[in-house]
Amino acid sequence: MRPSRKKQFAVFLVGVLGLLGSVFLFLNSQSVEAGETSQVTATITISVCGNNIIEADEECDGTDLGGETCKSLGYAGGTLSCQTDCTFKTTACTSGGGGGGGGGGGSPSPPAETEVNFSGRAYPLSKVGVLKDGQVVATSIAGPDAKFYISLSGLSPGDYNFSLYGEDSNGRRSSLFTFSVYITDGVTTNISGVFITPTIDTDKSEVKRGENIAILGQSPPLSEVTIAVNSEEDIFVKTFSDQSGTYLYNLDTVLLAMGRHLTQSKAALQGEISSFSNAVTFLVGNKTVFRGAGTCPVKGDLNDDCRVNLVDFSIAAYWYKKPISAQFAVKETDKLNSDGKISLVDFSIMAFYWTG
Amino acid sequence: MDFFRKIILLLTLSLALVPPVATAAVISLDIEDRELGVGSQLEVAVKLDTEGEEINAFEGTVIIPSELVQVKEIRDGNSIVNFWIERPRLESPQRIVFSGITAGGYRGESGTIFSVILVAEGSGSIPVSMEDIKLLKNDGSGTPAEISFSNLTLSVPPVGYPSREWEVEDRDAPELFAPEIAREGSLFDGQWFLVFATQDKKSGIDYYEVREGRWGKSIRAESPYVLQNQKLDGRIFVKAVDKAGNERSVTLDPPDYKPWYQHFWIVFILIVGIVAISLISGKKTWRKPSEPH
Repeated sequence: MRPSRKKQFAVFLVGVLGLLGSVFLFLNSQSVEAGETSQVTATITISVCGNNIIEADEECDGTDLGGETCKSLGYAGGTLSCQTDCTFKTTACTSGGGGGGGGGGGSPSPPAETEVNFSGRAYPLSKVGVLKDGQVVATSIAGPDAKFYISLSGLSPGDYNFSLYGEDSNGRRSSLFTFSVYITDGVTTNISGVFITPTIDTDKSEVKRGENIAILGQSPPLSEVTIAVNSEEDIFVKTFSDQSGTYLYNLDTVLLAMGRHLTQSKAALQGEISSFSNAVTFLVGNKTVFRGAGTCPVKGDLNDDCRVNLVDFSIAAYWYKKPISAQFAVKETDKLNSDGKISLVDFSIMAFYWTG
Repeated sequence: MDFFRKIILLLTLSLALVPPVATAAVISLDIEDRELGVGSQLEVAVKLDTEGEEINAFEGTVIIPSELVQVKEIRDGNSIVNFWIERPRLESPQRIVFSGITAGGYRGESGTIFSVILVAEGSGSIPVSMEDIKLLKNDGSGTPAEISFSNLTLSVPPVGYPSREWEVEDRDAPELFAPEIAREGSLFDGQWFLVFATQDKKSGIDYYEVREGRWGKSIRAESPYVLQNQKLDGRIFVKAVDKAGNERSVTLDPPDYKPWYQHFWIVFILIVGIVAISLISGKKTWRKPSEPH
């Protein structure tokens, strides 16, 4: 082999190695991830885009144009129609200038997809999650104004149980906002006005009577927060959240009797009101114990992963109607109803504390 | 006249002061087609009206006299129950047991828990009833809800009406789902296990299959499923099949799973092989032109 040939061959070899290296790096750059996986009485609005009836925020719906025409919308003439997202289609409207040319043949609208859209308020820049029939299917981040919008598509028609939750900047989760809705084939269902309950916590798990206890959490910014504390006579106090949605109220425990108490909060903003949050318990006694940082569910989390989901359900279901082991009895006492067996009551507790 | 006015006022006040009757969740057996006859098929649905209450756990037994009707099928597609503790099943020829939960609770007027397709085999009066019904409130303590029953009596005349087939046209795959791998000391000796669940809104889920590894064998499985590969380095495939045969397959990559190109030794052998082939073929190519002597 001549020197020039050797040089060419060396270049060829380097090229082959370079190509292999590039392929190797490219393949390894593709991250492979496993699928990620209250009661509320607040008013939500459900509208169905595709049922030929204008509801909620829809401009139109199918053949229902709400009496509007091209002329009423400021055009000279033409034919007004409705798009699949329930907004007006004005492309066939003519403007007031010279005579318009003949209209071309309209193309048929594509078949509408079955989807459901959720919108409402949570907390500024908070994580908002959607559970479909108990399993997390989507998450999103709310805007600085706490408003969120989440869309789900590819659903089969049928009855669904949807739950929404918010997670504040400290990892505290709201109670689930749950509702059932029938999803119709080929239409868009809009669920608006969802007002996620505030998160709530206290700085102390036990407080010496007469000292203050801080009740805090997150809600939409500049909202009015009502805090309820159960005592011999229930106490209701009001405060406002700041621009970041954080609220804090220092409660003088001289008002409270000795013993265990529950506190909950709800938020109101621009005429909308949330339901009460989940309840946090604290003790009024003879000493003060600060609450450790932790946002795990109080009950139901059987595998200690700070979630209550299908895994915990499966663990409990394994012991259903069976004598439980000594090892599991400890868990049952700590995380369920402490009756030494697994019954429907334990599953009910789990369903209440469900996080998905 | 004053006397009557006083009486009316007294009655009005009495009525106003009567405490409101506590509402109870109504669980009922509902039938759509009441034209029955021997040989007819009928669908009996177990329905729930929560009367404004939020219910998250359901349990009970439906009793059907087996001498006059036969259970053809039990349908739990489109149920308000998210997770079955015991899927509705025939415990004996006369008794269908069920229990399950709805995460976050259900509040509604006409939620279907499940339905049963029956075939009338004899004429007469057929009482379909429920017992041991438990409905628990979504209050974090599992407080029993007040329950009101509504049983059903079917009258089957000897003369048969044309039989109605209660077939469900289902072309949709089961809902997308995300299986999870978990381990808990008190279960399966601390071995890793797989959990999975989904729904099919029309015909309902028939069975699941699990396959461990690309070349593994698919086997019918129930959740929780103890993994054979406890090293968690192989991809897991889970398939849900509905009663109409539609399938939904999902893939799960365990924490220690690496695709082939992330195994150093495979990539090394591959590179050595390619380089060796390149060397051999390259040498042949560059040797071809013979040098003049």
